[in-house]
Amino acid sequence: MTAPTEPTKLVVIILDQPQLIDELLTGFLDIGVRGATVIESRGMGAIVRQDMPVFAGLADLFGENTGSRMIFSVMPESLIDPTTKLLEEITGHLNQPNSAIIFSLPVEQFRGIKH
Amino acid sequence: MRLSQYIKPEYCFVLEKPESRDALLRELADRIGAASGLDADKLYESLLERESKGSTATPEGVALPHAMLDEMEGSIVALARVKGGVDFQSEHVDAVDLVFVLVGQKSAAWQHISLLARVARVCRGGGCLDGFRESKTGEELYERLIKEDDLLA
Repeated sequence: MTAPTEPTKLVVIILDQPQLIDELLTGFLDIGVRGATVIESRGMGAIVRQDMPVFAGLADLFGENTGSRMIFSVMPESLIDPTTKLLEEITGHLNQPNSAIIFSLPVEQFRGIKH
Repeated sequence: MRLSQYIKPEYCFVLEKPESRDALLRELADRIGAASGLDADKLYESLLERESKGSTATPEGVALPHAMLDEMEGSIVALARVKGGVDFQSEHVDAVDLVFVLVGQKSAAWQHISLLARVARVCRGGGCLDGFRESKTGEELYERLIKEDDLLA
């Protein structure tokens, strides 16, 4: 194990357009993000809309959703801005519905990643 | 990563239709070797070896043959437009008419991966490949590539 040389953050992205995952991961490699975990996911809106008939009449409130991807990546703090710019470039404005969400969390302990 | 750090006008070519994929790789290795001082024979062998593991051609008619050499310092990106295209021995596409050659240091694998990713991103730009295909000279190819690269974050 090699200790990281600069502060790291856990970046979480919820990508509401799963077809963009290839483009996003290619971009990760370009800007220097060397690892991530990708999980197929469904947002609450999709579950409510598709699996809970009691809410069927209000389904339009939740918008169309075809599933999402959750991406977890522990990365140096300096990569957070480039990652956010990349995500905006790929998905369009993040304040639009069905694009993506990104947030970061501090990493208190760090083991097992070797760069 | 910016491609401008790794590509020069002398690494961009517009080539006549070659006899085969291997003839094209030979010509590219010779041209890159002459422009950079790299050993053209080693480069050619390394490019061939990579292609033997699976074609680097994409369905869009772009190939990305790449090599990692011991004696390399830094990385090189070259781009060729091949008039008439060439069979790149891929099941995904009949002919390739744009070829990016990436040459990197064996000890800098991540830089090599980042460069490949950058080239892939640039090629996704709308109308980008059409622009490359309209280029009549190496200098024009170079200018278009740098322009497309600048559009990306």
